[in-house]
Amino acid sequence: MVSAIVKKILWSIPLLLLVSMIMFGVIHMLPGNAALVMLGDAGGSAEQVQKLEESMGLTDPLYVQYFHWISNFVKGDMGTSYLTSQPVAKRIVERLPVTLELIVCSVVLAVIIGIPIGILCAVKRNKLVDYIMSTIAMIGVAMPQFWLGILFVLLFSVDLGWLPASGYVTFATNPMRHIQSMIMPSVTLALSLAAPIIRQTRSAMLDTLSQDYIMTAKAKGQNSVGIFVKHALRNALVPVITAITSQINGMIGGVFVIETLFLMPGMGKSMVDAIFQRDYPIIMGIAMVVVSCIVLINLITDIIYIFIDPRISLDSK
Amino acid sequence: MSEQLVEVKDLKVTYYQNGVETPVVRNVSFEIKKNETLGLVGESGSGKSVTSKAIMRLIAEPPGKIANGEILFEGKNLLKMKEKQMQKVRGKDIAMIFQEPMTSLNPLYTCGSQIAEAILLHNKCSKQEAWERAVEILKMVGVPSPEKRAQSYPHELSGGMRQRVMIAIALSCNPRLLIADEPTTALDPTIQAQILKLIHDMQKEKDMSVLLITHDMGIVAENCDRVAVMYAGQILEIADVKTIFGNPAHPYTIGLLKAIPKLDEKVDRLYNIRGMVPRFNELPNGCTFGPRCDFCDKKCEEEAPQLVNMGDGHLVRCHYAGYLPERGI
Repeated sequence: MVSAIVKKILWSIPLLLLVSMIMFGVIHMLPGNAALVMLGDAGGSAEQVQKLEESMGLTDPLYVQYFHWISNFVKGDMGTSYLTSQPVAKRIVERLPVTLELIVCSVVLAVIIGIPIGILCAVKRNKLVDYIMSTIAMIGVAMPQFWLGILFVLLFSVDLGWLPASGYVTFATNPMRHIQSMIMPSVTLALSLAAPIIRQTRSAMLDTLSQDYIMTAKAKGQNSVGIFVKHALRNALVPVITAITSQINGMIGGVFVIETLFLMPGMGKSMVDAIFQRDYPIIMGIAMVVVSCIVLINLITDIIYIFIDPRISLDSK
Repeated sequence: MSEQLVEVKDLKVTYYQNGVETPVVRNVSFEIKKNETLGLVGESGSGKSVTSKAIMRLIAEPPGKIANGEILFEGKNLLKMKEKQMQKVRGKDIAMIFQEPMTSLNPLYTCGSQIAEAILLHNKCSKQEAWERAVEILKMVGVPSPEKRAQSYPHELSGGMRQRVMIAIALSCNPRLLIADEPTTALDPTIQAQILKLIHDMQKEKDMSVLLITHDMGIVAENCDRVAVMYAGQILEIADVKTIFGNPAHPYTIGLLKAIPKLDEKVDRLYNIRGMVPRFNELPNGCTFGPRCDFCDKKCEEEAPQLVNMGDGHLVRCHYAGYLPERGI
């Protein structure tokens, strides 16, 4: 198993390379560049801009720029921000915990909400509870996160005044305020993540409950709790976990939106700012971290499968 | 104490099909005596499995529903029991093995733990004791190196081995009745014979009754004491196995027996009963077998026949039971 894990990690290297090339190409296709951003607003002349571009290496051919970036990256140097001259690595180390906390909180919350409701819907199939919950889940899938976030702000901050509308306080500064500032962003993300989990859990449970071994379990005299939890749920978990993983992968985009909406100093906010400022080193750095995270999440998922289902093995082809 | 272990009286099971309640088992009455093997034969869709699931109360409601009847097990009506009481009967007093050994075991648990689960549900014992008992039963049902096999997952075993594990689960709590729903249909002929012999041996050893559901007349002849022939949700004929094979009285039974290929006769074409099993929502008014029967007349088309007692527990659902020889059969 260890060799299989190592193999998977090694396979992520060409993936990272490919993603870096695509990213590098795409961001350079955006009109404008960092030199323009820095001097343009300040009213610099065309010559000044060109001079700055040359000094930043922006006038070199794209492949030269890429080669320059990748050779530094491989050596562990992610470069420095064009605008703040802060090392990219330092910025990421600063911002990553905020984003990770947000993702972990919302995923845990989504699982706590999603799986039990999904089971409930399957158990009470075609009853009123199922109809209500499934409808809510469908609305949840269809509702854009940013819109849900805005509605929450309107309700809980503007009307009720229970929670801060935006801003982020570190745990060290003020634990209570920290938790308050995390609630709305986490819940917003969690709800849109819980919706597909509910749907997936419901359908996986229904599928499992129609299997022959459920009949065997009933014929043994197993009670309904034993049937649902021991026999059905564990079998239903594999597709549910697959769904959760793909949702987390997709959620990274959502995190960027939510961080921007709630003005949280996470990687998402950083990324969005960097894109507006054409701060290529920051964009590339964050993109690489995100891709690595996705590779890691998928690897962890593969390992979880093995513990759930004895038929799954990483080694076999 | 009566000789009967199970008495099914006037059982009716309905299923909702496209919003219409359709009876799939009607007026089914039979009994299973202690220590006997009753064969339940019929084509696919004749209601054999539904009948057996009704005894276990395993019919999914909805869409199914046990609409009428009594199922007495050692005098107690199973249909009147609460679900909790029924859970104590299932697996302990009545056990069941299914047609598909490949899918009837939970893929995520070892065979040993699936047997131990049944033991733990019905006996007060530790997990360790249950496991040891599971290994013992595996040995009893002829699984080689049972300690090792108990640790195996179902996907690591062959179909025949899995069916042995299923039998081990069924026998783990010494049931009084074993319902075997086409236990060998999915298996190779050589394995079939082994499994049937195993069920037979276990029956002798454990003093239990067996309800053997099958569509194979050969299996019936070799394994059953009495036979009930089902067609379109009704029992058409019940008798002991000698009578069914030696002196069948219903045209359907006669047809089934004629359809068995014989090694010592050279024929160009094997016999078949013409037509198809009717759909449950398109059953004829008169005799359900009428449209496929060579002897069907006006009376058969208009009036549904009742079970007629021909003596010695030989019941036949035919207007002309006993008169068929005169009608040229």
